[in-house]
Amino acid sequence: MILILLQVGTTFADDAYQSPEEFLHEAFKDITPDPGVIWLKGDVKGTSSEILGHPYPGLRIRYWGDGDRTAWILEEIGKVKPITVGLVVNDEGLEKIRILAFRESRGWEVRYPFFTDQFTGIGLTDNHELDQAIDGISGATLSVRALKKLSRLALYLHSQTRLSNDTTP
Amino acid sequence: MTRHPKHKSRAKLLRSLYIWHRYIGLSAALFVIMLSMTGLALNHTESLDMDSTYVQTESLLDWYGIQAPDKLSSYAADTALFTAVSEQVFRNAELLDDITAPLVGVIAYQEFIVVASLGHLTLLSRDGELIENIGSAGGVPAGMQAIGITTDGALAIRAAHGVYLTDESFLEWHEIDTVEATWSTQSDTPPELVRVLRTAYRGNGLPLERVVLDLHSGRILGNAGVWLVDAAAIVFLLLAISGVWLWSRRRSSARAHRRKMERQDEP
Repeated sequence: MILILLQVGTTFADDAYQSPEEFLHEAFKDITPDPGVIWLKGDVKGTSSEILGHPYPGLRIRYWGDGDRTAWILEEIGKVKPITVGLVVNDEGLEKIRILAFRESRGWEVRYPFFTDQFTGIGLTDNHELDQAIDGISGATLSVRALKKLSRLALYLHSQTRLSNDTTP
Repeated sequence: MTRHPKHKSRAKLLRSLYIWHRYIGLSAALFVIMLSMTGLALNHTESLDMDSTYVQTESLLDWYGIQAPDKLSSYAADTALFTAVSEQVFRNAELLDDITAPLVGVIAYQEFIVVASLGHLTLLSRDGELIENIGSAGGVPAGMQAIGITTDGALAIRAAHGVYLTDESFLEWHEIDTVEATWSTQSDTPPELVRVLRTAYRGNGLPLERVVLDLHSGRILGNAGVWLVDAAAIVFLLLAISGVWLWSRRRSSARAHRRKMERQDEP
């Protein structure tokens, strides 16, 4: 059984489904806004670490903003390798989530719309939890968990860009 | 009373099958133990940290052919030496998980150490703490060939399609026609560091999970190992079939014997 899973999984290992540039192009209808950065320090660092269960690798995160919409390209390890995820957030909640690259041998089903569509319009509670339940996928528990964490992080960081002056633009 | 020859040969066959079943069972026991133990371990790789524990046994690393390359390329920046060992990158002797070789160059720029690798610029603090990993979406020019500092103190990248400068925050890039710059160049790697890095490279190359997985599938012995495990699986099937058959034979003969005894006891 393990062998079968591995053989199926390796077909999808190291797959890049969409380049970051294409994702931004799609998110902003061909005119990608100038990037900004948010520094992970103080409360922002603490809350980000709390959401992920570990510190984010890096002291600052880049984003692209256009009015009330921001786009983020974030990474989180599913089991052993990072999953690269593109997220678009607006003031109403999560607008779009796309798996840009999936390097794990298992759990690649999270890239399909039947799963990612659940995140559309989702927001954050006061405790930085998602305000709607997400149905998991058997055999993809860690990937599902990683995507939920990144959604929470993007929603939280978006709210910080709307509050803080310590970011650009 | 003598037994019918047909019954006699059947009893002989049964006895012979018993003996075969016993010996095959004994020889398969080693595989059962090995497959059960590795299977159990693989079911709990995460809690056993098998994916993040690396094998340090020299003979096993040799068996897998994990060898550091003979030639190491290093770049000096600030007080540190950045060295690529195959796909791994080290800051002195510390592995940098977020950077993948090959290295294009490393420079100290303002409060940052900037590491240029294939398609990425990685900003580190002077202490080596990761600040940001910038990829193509962040404007990093494609086909980086060199990284340097211009005579005006700006950070420059020489890439496949020209020379590019960035601002102090690494947010915007613009192409320029000509530039005078000091480019990052390779340095010698001290022999003592070479020895340390070669050992560290091997020690980061083989996760325990890989070995257990290969033991489970037999791949640790190559194709022959896979065939061996396949053969063991067929033996398990034969044991299961012969075991059930022997059990049913024994059960039916015991029933027959009991019925015979009951008939004899009847008045």
